[in-house]
Amino acid sequence: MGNPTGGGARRPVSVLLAMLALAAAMALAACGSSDDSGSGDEGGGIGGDSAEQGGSGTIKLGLLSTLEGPFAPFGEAANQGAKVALLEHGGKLEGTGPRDGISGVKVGGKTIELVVESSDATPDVAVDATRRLVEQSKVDAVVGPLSGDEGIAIKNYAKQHTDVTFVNGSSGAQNTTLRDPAPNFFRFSTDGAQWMAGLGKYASEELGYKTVATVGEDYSFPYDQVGGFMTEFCGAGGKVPRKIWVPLGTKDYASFIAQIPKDVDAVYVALGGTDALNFTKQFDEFTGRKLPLLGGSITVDGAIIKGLGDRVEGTVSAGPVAVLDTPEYKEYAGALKKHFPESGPPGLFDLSYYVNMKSLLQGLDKAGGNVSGDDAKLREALSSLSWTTPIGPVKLDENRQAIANNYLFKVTNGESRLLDTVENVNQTLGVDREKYVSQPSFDRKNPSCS
Amino acid sequence: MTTRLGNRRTLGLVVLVAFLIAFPFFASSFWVVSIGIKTLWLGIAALSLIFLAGTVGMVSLAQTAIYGSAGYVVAHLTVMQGWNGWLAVPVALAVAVTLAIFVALISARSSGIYFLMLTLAVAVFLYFFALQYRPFTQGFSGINGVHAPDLFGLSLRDPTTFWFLALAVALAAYLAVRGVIASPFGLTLKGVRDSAPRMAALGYNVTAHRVVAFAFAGLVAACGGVLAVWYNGQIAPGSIDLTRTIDVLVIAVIGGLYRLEGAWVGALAVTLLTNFANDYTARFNTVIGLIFIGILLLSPGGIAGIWENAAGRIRGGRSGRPQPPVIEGAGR
Amino acid sequence: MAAQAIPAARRRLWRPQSATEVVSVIAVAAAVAFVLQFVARRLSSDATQFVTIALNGLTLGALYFLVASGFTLIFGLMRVTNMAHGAFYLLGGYIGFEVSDRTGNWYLGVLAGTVAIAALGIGVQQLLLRRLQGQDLREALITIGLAIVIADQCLAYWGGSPRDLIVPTGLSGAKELQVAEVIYPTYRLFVLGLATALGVGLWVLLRHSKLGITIRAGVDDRRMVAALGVNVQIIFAVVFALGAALVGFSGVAGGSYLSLAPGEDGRYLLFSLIVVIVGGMGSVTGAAIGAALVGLVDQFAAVYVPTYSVLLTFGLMVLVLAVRPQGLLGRPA
Repeated sequence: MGNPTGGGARRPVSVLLAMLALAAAMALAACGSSDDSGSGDEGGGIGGDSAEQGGSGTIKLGLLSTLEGPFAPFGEAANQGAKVALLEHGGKLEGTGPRDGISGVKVGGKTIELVVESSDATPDVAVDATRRLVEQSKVDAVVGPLSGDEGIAIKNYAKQHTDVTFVNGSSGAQNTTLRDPAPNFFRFSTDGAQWMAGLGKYASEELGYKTVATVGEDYSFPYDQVGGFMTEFCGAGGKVPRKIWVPLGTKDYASFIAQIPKDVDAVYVALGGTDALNFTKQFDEFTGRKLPLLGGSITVDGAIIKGLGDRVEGTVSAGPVAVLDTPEYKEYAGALKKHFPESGPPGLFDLSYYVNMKSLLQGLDKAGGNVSGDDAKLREALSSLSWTTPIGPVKLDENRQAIANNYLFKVTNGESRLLDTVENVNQTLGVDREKYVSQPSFDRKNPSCS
Repeated sequence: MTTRLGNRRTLGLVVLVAFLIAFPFFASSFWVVSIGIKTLWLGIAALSLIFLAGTVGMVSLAQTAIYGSAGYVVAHLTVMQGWNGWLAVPVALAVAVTLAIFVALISARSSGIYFLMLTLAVAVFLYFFALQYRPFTQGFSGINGVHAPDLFGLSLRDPTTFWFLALAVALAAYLAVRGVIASPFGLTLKGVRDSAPRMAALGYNVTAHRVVAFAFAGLVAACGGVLAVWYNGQIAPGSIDLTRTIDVLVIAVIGGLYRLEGAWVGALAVTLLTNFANDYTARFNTVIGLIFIGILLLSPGGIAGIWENAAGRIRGGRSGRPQPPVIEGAGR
Repeated sequence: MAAQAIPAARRRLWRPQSATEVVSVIAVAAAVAFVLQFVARRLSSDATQFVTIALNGLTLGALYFLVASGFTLIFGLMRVTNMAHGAFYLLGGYIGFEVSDRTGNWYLGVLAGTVAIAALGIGVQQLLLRRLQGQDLREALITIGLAIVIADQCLAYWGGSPRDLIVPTGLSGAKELQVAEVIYPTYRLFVLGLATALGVGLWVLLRHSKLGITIRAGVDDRRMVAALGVNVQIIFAVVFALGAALVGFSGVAGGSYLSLAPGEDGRYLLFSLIVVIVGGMGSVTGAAIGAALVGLVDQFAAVYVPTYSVLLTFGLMVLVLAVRPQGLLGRPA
């Protein structure tokens, strides 16, 4: 009766044969060299092979974004931005799909080969995908990942593979570079807290808010956003009597709205996309819109502003991406539309990937395509790189984290209009670095100023 | 005839063992790590499910959460408390087994579908616990930077060393499960699986036996969990969410729910699929789902048949559910 | 003298069978006492907030009831645990969204979602489940496979961005209630009323209609019903269709004030399971009570213990299991 031991004479040879056949197939497929090169000593997980050093006329670049699961549309946009950067060096697309490669692109005298991998916004899968890039496809550099928590996992993986250079995609978790950075992880985009630069000061000084309640989802990106906002707001004398954290995946905000103190001056909402839609709708229903809103970086996003309607009229928010009247921006927007006619207007993900990829390519150019000796020349070039991107100038600090502009917006007549530019925002938001780093990481309780 | 069969089988076994030992020396590290080692620890997790399903007649969806709990304990103790890895392991195993016992106490009185649902609810509960209880689990971001400790002076970061550790643990788990099945305890479990009222009438404490079986399965799963967290170098709620919970079930079914070896066959199949199907289609989940359905429709009675018979005998004529034809096949 | 009156002195209210039972009863009594004093305190200090949250809980419970009633009906009669129930919710909602988006008519969307999933339900039952009849486990596992496929196809077609149905203007906005100066959204009141009406309708159907009586008889003893000449297969198909229609409908109704997105299928499957475990498998009334309890616990916990609110909902389930494993109104297994 279905004896699961499979032992004794009753066990058919067939199972064994099947396993042997599989093993043989694996052996054929898996044959490859197994020299362990340059494994660093930190970061956790198992080491493994990586690319051969220097030599050939091809540079392999890995592109990692979330092409699976709910974040897939963002991954698609991200890949488009990255490819626009590549196509500026000649060559053409092999197809307009996110996984299609490029051909004929030359940087620093070498041909670029693009390997596309995908994750689903969970750290495990992101690390698996990176492993495939580094250990199986043997790429020389990786651009990615997309989401914040993947970023921290990739940073730790990078520490183990110091011979490969990692450049960020769009992940914005603060601790990817602020604390315990990897010497081979470069982030040319700003983090979630930097995306709030300017808002706290504006709320306190220009709008005269004295008390604000915050609402955000209960994970790291909103923590960073609220933390960034509060660093400035509290620093300017404001108080935050209530921080409301909504469990991930909540769609019904009714009971959370009921907790907002009636006497605050405004509500800061760090929700994005359709969560913002739901929240503002329910907020209006339950409070009759008696309180003004302040928006996080993805709250009053171009994609949903129509759906938000007049619920967010007058809302002020901040973020790293704005429609600028500069030649760089116009050129990028034009190129994006030309290569990917189906794409939407420039947004956070494609712009971040564009900036990061282009930075990598400029570094490769400057280093003459030299990826030998643990990419020393490349990294030197990257560390000292500074250029004007479609969204303003960028340069790196000592942790290889971007210092760039941030923008304030106000929703006027149904449109998110540029209100102000905050220049040269560094990762510590102007606060003394030692003081900033020594405070606990942003989370539910920190910072606190009630 | 038997001797020739036996000789062929022995030869097959020798070849397999030789292959497994030689594998890390000729395969690239990607294959050893991303395919091989992952298959080994996933297979251990699936083994715990297959053991419970086949021997005890309980299909548990809580195995992922249990192996995740072991992983979390190791991660928390080594990263956040600075413990040595080898000290953390027994604590992790103990915690996982305790958790398994607790789950069993809630659910062991139910059987069949109720049990499936309860264990699913428990698994998702543990996911949310991992998500919300930041002081221990660091919430959504999880715990990063988990280092495997050195094994007799050898670094477990070396793929070959880790491969042999994983292989040894997998082999030990396999032999342990076979040992339990063949033991008197295993026979009692089969009796419970076939007809719990009869065993109760004979004086056996059915619930206690189920709880012990569950605890043992939890121990097996926990070993896989420790390997998993060292393999990944980190653990997050995403490692034990609904998708991963169902994954272990899919692996067990695809591999063959009534064969212990099926655990690794299924794990290998799914690992290969998830690593390479990406190149062909973004819809590999649909592919896996269809294969899963196909196997369920076409496979012989197997565990389901056994279970139906057992359930039918328990209920007697009360529910009047029609008895499925008993399908005789190889291995029954 | 067959029936003898028991002397009053010997009649006891409750004779404890074991230590566990004593502990469980004490635990339940303590929980009830806690809840009562909590309610009393909150009502006196902030009635508006309390009533609002209570209404939130009941409305959420109403939605869960709509989803779980189909689940429990299907299980009660056919012993099929439809693990694709959450996927049906999501797909029904998406179809409703698609139709209402294209036609501009919300009611058409509701109809579309309901009918489409009812049809899907019949299809699944006839093609997949009928040949496995009686093999509960295999049926459940197959529905898991179905759930995986449906979820992936939904992701492929509608993508990852959440979708909202637009509620007709007659149902939107908020109403001022007479109680405690509460302002409450009209649509949520609509959902609450609708679920109550459907619940009563189901109850009447099950209790007083011929179909209902046949269903209940089938739940009790299927072979006997078949022996009495009733075509059990048709009853099965009808019940599965009814259950599927209910969940398809709730997908559209729920998606109109809580968005539809990948992952919602898992959430609603999970809450169906909890509601049915708490209320008792196979009992529609149990599903109603279970749903109300789960909804209330969820919302109150969200306010007073936000970080661990989900855990409290599960705690409710564990408590019920410890005291009464078959659920509040379930039949002993």
